Amino acid sequence: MAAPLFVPNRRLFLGALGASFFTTRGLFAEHLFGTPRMTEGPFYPDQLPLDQDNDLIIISDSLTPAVGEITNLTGRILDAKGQPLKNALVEIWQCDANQVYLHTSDSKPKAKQQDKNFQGYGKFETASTGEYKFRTIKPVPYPGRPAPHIHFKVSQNGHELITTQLMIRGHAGNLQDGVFAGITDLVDRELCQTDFKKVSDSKTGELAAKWDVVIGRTPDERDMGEHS
Amino acid sequence: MLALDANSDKKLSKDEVTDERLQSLFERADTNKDGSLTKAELTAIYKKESANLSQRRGGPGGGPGGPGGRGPRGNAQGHPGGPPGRPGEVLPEPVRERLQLTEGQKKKLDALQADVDRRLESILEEEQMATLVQMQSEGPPGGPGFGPPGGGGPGGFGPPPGGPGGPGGFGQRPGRPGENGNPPQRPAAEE
Repeated sequence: MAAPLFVPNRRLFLGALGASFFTTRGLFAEHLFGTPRMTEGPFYPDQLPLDQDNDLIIISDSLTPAVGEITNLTGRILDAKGQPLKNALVEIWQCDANQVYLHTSDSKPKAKQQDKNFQGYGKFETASTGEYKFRTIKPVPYPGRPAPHIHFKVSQNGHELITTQLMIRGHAGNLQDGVFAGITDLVDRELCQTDFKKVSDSKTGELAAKWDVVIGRTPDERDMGEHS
Repeated sequence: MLALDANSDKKLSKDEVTDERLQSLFERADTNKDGSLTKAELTAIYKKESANLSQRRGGPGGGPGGPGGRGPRGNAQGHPGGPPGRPGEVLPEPVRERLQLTEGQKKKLDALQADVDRRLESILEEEQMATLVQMQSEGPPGGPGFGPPGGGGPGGFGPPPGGPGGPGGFGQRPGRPGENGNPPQRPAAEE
């Protein structure tokens, strides 16, 4: 029986913890764990929208907002020492509340289903604080991807630093999800999830999600064994 | 060994886990709420939160059942969703569900489990622990034919390995019926 099992094997048993808390990764208190890299997936927009701002809820000056649970998504882009990265371009994309991506191979066949008021893609460039900010919807599952997620790509001076995905902490779909399953390290799993919490003073029930992205390993390592 | 363990006491205190992104994990893992994490507690939460994931990893299509539950305790009909046992597991998940534990009981049970894990780990050397886990995943020595073929039983209900009963069902479990249209397959006879 070669298939992985409940406690798949010794390598994974030790590796799952070993690679994180319990082995030397040259980690010291001032070092942060790098955010795990993940597949870009097939739906980075093939045609970027006219409106590419950081508010994905309203397209241009439309009066109709997107369908979905409005989420204020914030965080910082940091290096492994915790230093903020400035002029880092943060791009996000995700499917709309009706499970349609802003990509012609998805939105064409699903034209009727698509929420035309959702921007689907947005970008933001960090200042010296490394902070980014988006207004978007809480991600929903997509057919074949039970884990709701938001795609992230961070670049600086035209060089890509990381491509990854943000998932909802503790969402049941994560455990059914092939991409999530590809992350075998306890800490790595933690680092690709965050809470989507109700904003206490929001009358409209808006959510807030905070997620820092730490650029760890060199970008050249991407595309190595992280397909799904 | 403990990369973050600044004072080398083989535990991680809250002060040592400075990365705020890991606070939630810390709190979930610290089942006895003593403000520090042992390797046993980390192991326990990893397994707890991976349980469903591992089941899924049995793969689409289900695949043949494993060597099967050990002896009489193995549930010949299989128990889809029942995780295999692991060393020292007090009550496996399906059993916990069946018993409809209260929140308070679950917490106490988690604490007990963390305690068991810790003590088991303190008794065994790291290599022995690894060997034990490896044995579990590979099935008992002698391999196939040890128990009735078919879906693994609920397993892990018995005492730790060495005693009668004990963990069963380390094979790939049959896929959940209807999950992908394929009925769970009986394994080919392995004897």
